[in-house]
Amino acid sequence: MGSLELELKQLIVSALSLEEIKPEEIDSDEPLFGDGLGLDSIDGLELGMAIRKAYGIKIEAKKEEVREIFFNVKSIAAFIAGQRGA
Amino acid sequence: MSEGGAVLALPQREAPPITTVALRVADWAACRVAGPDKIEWFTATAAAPAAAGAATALPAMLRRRVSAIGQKAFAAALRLSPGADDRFIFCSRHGEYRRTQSLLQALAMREPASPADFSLSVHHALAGLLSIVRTNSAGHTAVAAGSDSLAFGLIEAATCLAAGSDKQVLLVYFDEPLPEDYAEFCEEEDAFAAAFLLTPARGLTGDILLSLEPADRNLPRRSATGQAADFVRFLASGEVGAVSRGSRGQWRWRRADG
Repeated sequence: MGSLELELKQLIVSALSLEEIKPEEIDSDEPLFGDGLGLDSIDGLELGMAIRKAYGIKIEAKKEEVREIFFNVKSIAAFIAGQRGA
Repeated sequence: MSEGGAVLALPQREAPPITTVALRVADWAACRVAGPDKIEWFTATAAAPAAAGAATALPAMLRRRVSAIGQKAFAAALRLSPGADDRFIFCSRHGEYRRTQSLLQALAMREPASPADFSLSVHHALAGLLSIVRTNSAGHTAVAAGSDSLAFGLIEAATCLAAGSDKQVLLVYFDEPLPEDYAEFCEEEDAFAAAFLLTPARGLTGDILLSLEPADRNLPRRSATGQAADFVRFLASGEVGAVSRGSRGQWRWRRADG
């Protein structure tokens, strides 16, 4: 597991107050919303803000690919890595 | 005051007696938090306060969005097993004020405000969450009336029940001391949460009558949590009547003698 993915899992647990979940318990391929981890739309906004604070990267809510970016930990990590590389 | 103008008539400091309202208390539970290890439960039956945990727990995904005192209010409410059609009335002087404070701090620091905090910063946020937990679509009211918040919640409940549209009302009260920055405005010493399952008055023994009278100036004025604790003490004591002095006068509670 990449260190960025673990970092994101820690961010998800702390920013969303997931008291009963350990970062390493989150599967990088598991969907974050709906059936997977069970996050809701408010979590999506909160997570977007936490990523902006932590990485200085703003994910535009309007963007059509926002669903794909937020699909799982792996897809968020890939997006952040891409933005850093750009 | 001009007639027909949009002038708000503020209540007088010492209000004249209002018409007595009546209701019945079918069940209740209350919790006083005087410190992390000083949590005291009071219930109508006095039994089973130790069982305040498991059966009344919120799902973890919702619990993370509720403050410690809010969780106590939920625990009190859920142990009364409110029905799917019961109207919820939530009353609190300050609500979950720490959440509002953290939003204000973020704004003052020119940081983005938390969307989760913002979504829950309205006074009826907990009523909404409880309606999700209980899949209850009966509707709810949130009351904030200063230190008289519980008393006005009781009036709201009595009027809903008297109107006949609600067979049973779940009334929930909670408050906690304000954060330190607001110490000079804080009257509450302990955190207090209580829930009451209320039914319409029957004009019989067992009805609880509530009225507002001019205050006896020898009585100390009670804080929001103090008035709530007074009402719980009255329910638990079985006494014929009790008085608690609020900010608008004194509240008198009586048990109808049939």
